[in-house]
Amino acid sequence: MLVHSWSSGRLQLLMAPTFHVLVIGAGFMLLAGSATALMVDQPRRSTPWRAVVLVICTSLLIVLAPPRGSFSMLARYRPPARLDGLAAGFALPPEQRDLVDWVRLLRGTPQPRLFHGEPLRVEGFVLVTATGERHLAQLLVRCCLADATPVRLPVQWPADAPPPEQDQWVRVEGEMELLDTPDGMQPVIIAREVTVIAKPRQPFRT
Amino acid sequence: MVLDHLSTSWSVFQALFLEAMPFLLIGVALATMARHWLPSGPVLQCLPDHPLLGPLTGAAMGFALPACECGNVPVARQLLASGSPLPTAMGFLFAAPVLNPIVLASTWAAFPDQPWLLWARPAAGLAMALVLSTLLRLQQEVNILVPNLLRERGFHQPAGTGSLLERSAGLIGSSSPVPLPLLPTRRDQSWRLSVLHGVDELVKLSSLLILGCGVAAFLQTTLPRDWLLAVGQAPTLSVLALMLLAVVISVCSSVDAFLALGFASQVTPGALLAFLVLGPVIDVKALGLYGTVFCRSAMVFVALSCSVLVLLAGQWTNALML
Repeated sequence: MLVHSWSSGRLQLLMAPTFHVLVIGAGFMLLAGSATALMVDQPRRSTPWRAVVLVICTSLLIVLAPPRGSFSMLARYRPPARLDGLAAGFALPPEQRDLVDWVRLLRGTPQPRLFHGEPLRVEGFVLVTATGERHLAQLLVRCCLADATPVRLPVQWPADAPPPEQDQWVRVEGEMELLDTPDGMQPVIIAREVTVIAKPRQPFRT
Repeated sequence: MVLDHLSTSWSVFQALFLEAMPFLLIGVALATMARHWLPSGPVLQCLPDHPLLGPLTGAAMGFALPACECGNVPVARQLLASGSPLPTAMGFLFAAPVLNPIVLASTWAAFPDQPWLLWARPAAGLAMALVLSTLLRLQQEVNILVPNLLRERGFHQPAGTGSLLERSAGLIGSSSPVPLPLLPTRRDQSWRLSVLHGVDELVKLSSLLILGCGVAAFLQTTLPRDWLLAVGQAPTLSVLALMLLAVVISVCSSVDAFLALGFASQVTPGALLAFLVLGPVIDVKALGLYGTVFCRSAMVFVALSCSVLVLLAGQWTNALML
């Protein structure tokens, strides 16, 4: 199960790369331990059958049913990610900044209006908020999906096309706009072109 | 909607379980090696039984095992099974998840601008381990340890015949009476047999881990996390909310500081400390594993005692820093 999760690339959907080596090592250790246990010419001890059945069934399910969770549902009620310590592309041209760069830039500057009207080209999944708005989001994961927190920006989707579905991965080209709202300056992506893209192999930032 | 919910819970379950398995394996491997090389536990039985020195020794041993609670439980169980004094084993069990180099390094990496956390977290973890060990030492072992462990502990025998979690241990398994373990023989002490015991033990502990991860994953996708953080600046409520969050999230103690970083600015310092101290010791994922050491009443006692101690620590921190 552990080795299969690695070889099938599923670990990249579930946890930060730092932990992959631990899982792989554990998988091979388990294989070696199991092989040794099979070679032992001794009557088996009384392992509770319910434990054996539970472990076998869970392992089979993990192999047969890959993780296909909704990032939108996972992140909807989670607080926004802190971006300290992440490398940010401050020096990059606007079109080369990704979503995390943009959010970090907008949070970090005392003059967000400086970025008003800048062109952008960002990718992410569609997060439907509790109020039904469709934001563009990425997840930030330190350990595994259990600690994932969202980085997101509201989007004004093109009026001449239906908005993308929840959890759909899209590339948005457009420009950054800053709106005055009762809660202060609110950054919004004005989408000119929306392209559906494939889910990345590792669909979150670490 | 329901399908989305189920598939999201399933993904979180897989993430939690696959991430925890290596640590559980490390713990079982260490316990198996201890069982093999320290057959009658003479070294372990010489560890201090003193109410202060015992937990301190256990905590120092924990410093050498950089694993989260999943790895600690089987090792602590082996310590007890080999006859090590209760205070030392309890000090190890409760202090090691906080007092280890990886956890301290990750705390420093996540909060370089809050140096007080660097000493407050291990200090609170150690204090909690000392108090819990003392409280448990005041009770009779027969009232706190599961019968199988007591039986193994009574025999002080190791690589013999029974696997560590033999029969009726914890939440899973037959509750029927079982024969006492046989006396160890030279043949029984072969390394192959030790591996066999380790695999059996791993299967039993894994089944408990599956249950814990299942509950944690369900709660994670059901309880809106921002509701808990909404009480962030209320001195007492914020501590309670973050304690609940720590129990539910069940994330490994080596990375929980990075998770706490995400909401550190929204909560009181006491709540932050409570999250970082309680989570490594008590969480939904680990409760099943504790069932292989403690009987149910003792588990409730440990969980309540931990909660009260952490609440006090959080309140005290808030009183000092707010």
